[in-house]
Amino acid sequence: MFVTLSRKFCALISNRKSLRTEILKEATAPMFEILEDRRLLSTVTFTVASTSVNSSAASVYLTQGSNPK
Amino acid sequence: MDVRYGSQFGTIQHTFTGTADTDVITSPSSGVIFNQLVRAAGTPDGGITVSAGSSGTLEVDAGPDDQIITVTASTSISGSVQLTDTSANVDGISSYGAGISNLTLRTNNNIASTQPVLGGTPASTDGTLVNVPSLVAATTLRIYTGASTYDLIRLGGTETVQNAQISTGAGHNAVMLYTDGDDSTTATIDFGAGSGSGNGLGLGNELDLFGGATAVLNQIGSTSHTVVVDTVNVNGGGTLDVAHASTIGDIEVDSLGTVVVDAASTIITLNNNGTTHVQAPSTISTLTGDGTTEFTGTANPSTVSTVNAASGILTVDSGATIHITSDSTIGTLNVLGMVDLNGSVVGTPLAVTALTIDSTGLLDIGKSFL
Repeated sequence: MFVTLSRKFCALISNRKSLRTEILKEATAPMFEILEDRRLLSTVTFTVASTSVNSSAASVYLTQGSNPK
Repeated sequence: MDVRYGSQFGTIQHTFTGTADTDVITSPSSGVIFNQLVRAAGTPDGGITVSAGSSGTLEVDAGPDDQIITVTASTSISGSVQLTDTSANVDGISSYGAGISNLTLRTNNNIASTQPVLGGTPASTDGTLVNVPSLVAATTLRIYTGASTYDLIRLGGTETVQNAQISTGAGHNAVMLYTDGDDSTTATIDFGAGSGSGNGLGLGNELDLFGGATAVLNQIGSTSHTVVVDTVNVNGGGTLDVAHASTIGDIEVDSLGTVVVDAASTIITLNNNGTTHVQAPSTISTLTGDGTTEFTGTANPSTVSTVNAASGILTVDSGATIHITSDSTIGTLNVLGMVDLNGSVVGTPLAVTALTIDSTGLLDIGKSFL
């Protein structure tokens, strides 16, 4: 992953090695994983037959019940 | 119908009981997945309706008796899928509303013995017919046939279907892509790794392109494999792009068809009456037809065992070396790279009606004769 920083900003951090390292570390963190983790950690609200129920899962399975339909 | 979270074997959260109702499940969240596992005969008369905040998925899995899956409606904010149990003559409707941008269809893993006929009622021995005559471009379609055999997947016709992904190939499965005449149905198809013995051919899977449809052969998923398909028919302006290493038994290209081989591949028979560009090192056992076949520089080296194209055009671009190993007949041969018969049996004849050798070209007939 490539990160483009402005010339002015590069000059500002050029003598701050630790700050520069931290900034680059943040900038190169995998965005997809962060978003994915957030999604998995969040609670999803499903509304089933007008009743809201919170679920930690992001998926619903509709299966054949004991009723004929 | 029961509702469970996270797993089809999870705790039942709710049970719908009205046989004539419409069962509604919604979520305001993004990225949720609705797995619809209820067979047609168990679907309430009013159907099932789902919706999500955004980027949601509806997956519809056919039951053992559901032999037809049809996308019956598709707009940018809604759509519906119909399962049909032909033996009980029952339909089950799954509808989706706003926020569902992914549609996944799975057939029932049945081992069948005959293929359904388009427009007909499948016999009990038939595989499943998956029919998607039209789908808005905003909806991403994925189709999986798993262990099912003799399934028939038909995309496009009424309108088009774009960028579909199809994983199939257990045996005698066919994919047919149609267009509506003004734009193109496009799909990426993975026929799987084949039989597992020899060159993997013999499972009888087939791809048919009609009226400008475009198919891309590619690996879907992370399991590394060569894509194997027995028969490909490129009809009426269709385009086949071989984007991943493939083994293909027979490619039939009509006068308006185009084939582009972008990955190293093995083709047993290429009957090219249209246009074929071979752009990666490949092996073709038999090349026939009246069309134009070009080997570009990136196809170096490639082998054609036999060319039997008395009216065909074969062009070998600069940078490419093509080995011809058996008796061959070519209408027009344009050599800008190298054509090499040096490895063929002594006395192998190469018959050419019109021969052009460019300044960069080389024709090495070895101990054969021209």
